[in-house]
Amino acid sequence: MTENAAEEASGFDVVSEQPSTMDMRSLQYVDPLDHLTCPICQLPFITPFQTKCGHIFCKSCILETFRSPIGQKCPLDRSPLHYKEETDGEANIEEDESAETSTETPKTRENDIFPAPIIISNITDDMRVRCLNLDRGCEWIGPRWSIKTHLLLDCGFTRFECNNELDEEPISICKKLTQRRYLDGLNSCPHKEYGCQFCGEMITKPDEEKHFTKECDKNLKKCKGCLLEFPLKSVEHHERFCDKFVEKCPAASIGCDWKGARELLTLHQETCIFTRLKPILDEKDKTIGQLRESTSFLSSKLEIILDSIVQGKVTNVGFPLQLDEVSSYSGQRSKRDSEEDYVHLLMELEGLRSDFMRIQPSISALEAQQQMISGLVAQNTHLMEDMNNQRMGLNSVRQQIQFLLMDRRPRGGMMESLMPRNSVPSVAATVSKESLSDDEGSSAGRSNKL
Amino acid sequence: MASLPKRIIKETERLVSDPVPGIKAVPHEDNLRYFDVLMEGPSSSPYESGVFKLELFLPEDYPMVAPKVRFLTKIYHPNIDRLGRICLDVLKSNWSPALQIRTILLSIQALLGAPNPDDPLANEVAEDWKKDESNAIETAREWTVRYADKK
Repeated sequence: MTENAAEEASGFDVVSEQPSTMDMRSLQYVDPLDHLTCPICQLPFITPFQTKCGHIFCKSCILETFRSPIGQKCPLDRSPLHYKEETDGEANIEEDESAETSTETPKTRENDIFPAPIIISNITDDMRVRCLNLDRGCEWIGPRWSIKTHLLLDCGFTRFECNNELDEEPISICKKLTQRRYLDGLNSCPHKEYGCQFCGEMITKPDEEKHFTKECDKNLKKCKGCLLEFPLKSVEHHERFCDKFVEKCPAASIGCDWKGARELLTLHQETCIFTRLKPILDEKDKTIGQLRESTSFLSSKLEIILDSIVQGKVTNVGFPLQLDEVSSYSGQRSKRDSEEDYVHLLMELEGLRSDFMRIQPSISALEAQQQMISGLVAQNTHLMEDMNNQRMGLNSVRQQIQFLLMDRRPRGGMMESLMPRNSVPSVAATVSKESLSDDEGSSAGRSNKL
Repeated sequence: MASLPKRIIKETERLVSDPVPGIKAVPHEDNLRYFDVLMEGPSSSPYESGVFKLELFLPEDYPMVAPKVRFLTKIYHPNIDRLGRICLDVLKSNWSPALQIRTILLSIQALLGAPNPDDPLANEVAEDWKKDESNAIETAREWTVRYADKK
């Protein structure tokens, strides 16, 4: 029995003396993501910690690096990192999933490494993993956060200690590790031996299946061909060679309905028309397959060429003629030629006409503009003439004014009144004095005359 | 020996499934920490025509300490001595656990393509290299033909 236990495939066991530790690193991921793996252990992060320089590692990996000869440097960019390891239960946190990154104490904040953003651990905890009991036959797949619950509460392949009493004297507790599926729903110890119903050998419940299929000599099964009975463990092997075993004709795939004992098969094949046809048809099938392949290849090539012609990349595909010439070439050229030419000319005419129609409105617009421009030119010359007349008038007025001024200068007074007073005050003052003295002189002269 | 860490298993699997071009690393059947390595000389280097044998060993503390790598094929190179020991920073002081077998082997292949005679391990070779580089390169080419396997 102990031998059997040792033979059992590796998986998850729950043993009472040891705390149930689960090796998170032995998990198999269904679809690992490259960016969510720790650069050190190369596995999806477990309790991710971030460095000051922005890199993320598993907490246990980065701490192990710090304790190693490499020291407190970032493994990715070698920048120095400060970290003071705490002694209060630090080691437990690495193992204990419940102490998730988010609940770190603020004490670690002063270090250069600290818990990574919670979303990282959320994503890695949601990654799908296989059951640790995969080798024992459990096909469970689920998110990583739920694997512990699955192993401890659900998985039928997790081994527990059998706590049932053995019936033997002296009564003792059976302590054998047993998969849950053998323990559940039983009142007595599944390790109580009983005689095999066929051979009488002493077996136990966990071994029953294996005994029936692989060991028992008396667990008989009929061969479907010869109807003789063989032990289950060897019936499959026998059926492979039994002469009476019913087989189909190898040409069944092309329509032969024959079924019969293996020993008659050669006899049948001598007369079977399908068997004779089969190699030929197989050959044909092969050829058709090859042809189909090359056709699809060629049609894809052709599509590419046609596409590039449409886009104007290729003008003639290695032909001496232009492509449109190639397509329009035909045997009776002379008669169709003139017809085609006529149609072609008509089409060209039509095209030109439509072009003309399109252009016409813009031509009339241009004409109107031209008229307007000539009108403006005429107006302009008229204005110019006017302006010249005005200029001549102005000149004559200026001459008259000059003449008048010349006439008045000796008398002076007129000048003064024409000039603005404040612009030339000194001149004005002197002039006014002169005029005053003139006036005084004249009045004095007058009084003298008087 | 203790059971093989998951990381070594993973690295080995990846070396087989997705090998580095020009480099082949196969673990021994009886010791999965010991690898036989075949490395092609990098192109446009004097080692171009040859395939070099190396041995690689992952110590107990790997990846916290660097793997031990040594040339088994004789090679004329200023940073590789007569015993095949390699002078490369990432194998010594600059090792980091984020490096892997594949990255280390790539670094060694790069070292073949870019010899550094200013930081020598084989002094005579480095002297030759500094004195007359073209002659040294010629010697390296001759040694490659004489000692290394053909590509």
